[in-house]
Amino acid sequence: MALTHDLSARDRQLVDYLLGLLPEEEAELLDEESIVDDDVAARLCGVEEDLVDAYVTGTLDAKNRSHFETYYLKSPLRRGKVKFARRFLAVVDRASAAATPAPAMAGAGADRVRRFSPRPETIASKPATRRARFSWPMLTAAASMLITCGVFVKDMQVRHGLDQVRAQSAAQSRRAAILSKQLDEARNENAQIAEQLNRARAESLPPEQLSALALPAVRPGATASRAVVLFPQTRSVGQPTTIRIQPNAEIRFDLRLESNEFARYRAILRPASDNSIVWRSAVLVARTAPSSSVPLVVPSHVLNAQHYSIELSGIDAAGLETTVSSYGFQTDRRVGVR
Amino acid sequence: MATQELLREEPRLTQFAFHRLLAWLDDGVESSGETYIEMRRRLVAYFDRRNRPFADDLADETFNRISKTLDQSGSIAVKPPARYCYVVARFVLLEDIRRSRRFIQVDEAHDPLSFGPRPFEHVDDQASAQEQRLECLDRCLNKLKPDQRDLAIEYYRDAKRERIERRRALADRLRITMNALGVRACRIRNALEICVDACCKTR
Repeated sequence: MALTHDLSARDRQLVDYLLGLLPEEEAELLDEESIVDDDVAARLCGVEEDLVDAYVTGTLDAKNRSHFETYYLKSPLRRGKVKFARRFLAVVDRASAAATPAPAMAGAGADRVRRFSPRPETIASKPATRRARFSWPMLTAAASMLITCGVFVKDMQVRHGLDQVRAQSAAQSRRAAILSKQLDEARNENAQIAEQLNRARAESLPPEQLSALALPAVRPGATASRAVVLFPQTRSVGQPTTIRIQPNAEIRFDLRLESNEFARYRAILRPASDNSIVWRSAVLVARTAPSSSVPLVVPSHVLNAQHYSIELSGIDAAGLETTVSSYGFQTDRRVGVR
Repeated sequence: MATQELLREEPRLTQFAFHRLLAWLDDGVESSGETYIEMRRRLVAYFDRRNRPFADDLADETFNRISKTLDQSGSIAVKPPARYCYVVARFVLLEDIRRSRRFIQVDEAHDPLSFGPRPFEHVDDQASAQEQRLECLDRCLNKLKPDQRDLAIEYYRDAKRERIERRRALADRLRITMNALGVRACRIRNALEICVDACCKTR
């Protein structure tokens, strides 16, 4: 089953289940069925694989993609599935582009050719006059059948060749999309590094600090609060951390990681009321001691009094970003952290 | 006590207990351990969907408890075995949630100067890890039987409509239902994931 808008109602329910969108009672029923019922377990496996493949190939619709990134990718095991899928599909693309025609098809075509080819001994044994009277129609019929079969086999070969070209074209389009995204990310990163460099030069920082461009520096004149520790969100409902902020302050966060799998990260700030992005960080670097976490500084002027979510994405060596965790908090525009 | 420390204190299954567990899971239909592998996969996925960080350990704990019941009682009345696995798994889940709520740690703020960057060594390590995983994937694919490899390639290629059509054609060619084809493909893909993980750990 490939993930399209033609999903059955049951498969849609399974997708919602995987994306954490079902009410708790329905989810608990499916929890049980996913273990007890062989058909449901098999279906769920297939739906999950197709969901992951759709995300990896960029064919997931925007709404499901958003839930996939904010919910499904919270788990290291599920992130591992996405990583595996990326490599697996690349290998499948390569193998399918190089595949030879299916033996069954070639065999069937060959059978048809053998079945309709005239036997030479039938023609040779007839007397010359009879051959002259009766063999030409037979020969013509045999020849036209041969030609038809030849055309059929050729058609199958052309179709197979077309399939191969289509597969190669699809793989190339995917690679082009990935490369284009990498180029955009590199340009953004260069612009941000250039901005930081200019700021550092203006402040006449010592040379050793100029090289530490990935540090989330506090702007001069801004008030730095102590770091607020946030943990990845889970399904369980609880009160989010409330942060009291004041004007011209910068909020320092310490985003705890379930696992530190990336060298670089980026954070996006979204209000809970809608899915917009109100702020995006520069490239961030995790620290490993005393615990795995990503330090983040958010300027208070982007924050109003409401619930927010910080989405943290890991950036791999190819420059691709994968959401690893989300962190919830709410703000209160008065002095101090509650 | 954290989940991992607690679960590590439990004694592992003896070979005899493990075989008894396999036989109980098979419920009279010999599966050469396939039923156990599949049930373990379902349990790990269940704990993972419930956002438990040590899903593998919790699945093992579930099997440990079932084995203990078999040892003490000789048999388990609940049928099918998968239902009993769910019942035990649910208890294990609730206990794990209660345990983690008791031990949430809150840290103080840290010195901002300790946020030191070390990007370049991580990037190199990541690139070689990726290369290693690709090599392992190629190895694991080559370990598959040819018909399994062909099925996996045919089943997972393309996207959207082409994928559906190709799978229908494959099911027709193999003379099996789409569901049965899906089950085979899932098993092959899961086996590949396990193989790649094991390969990477040994390198």
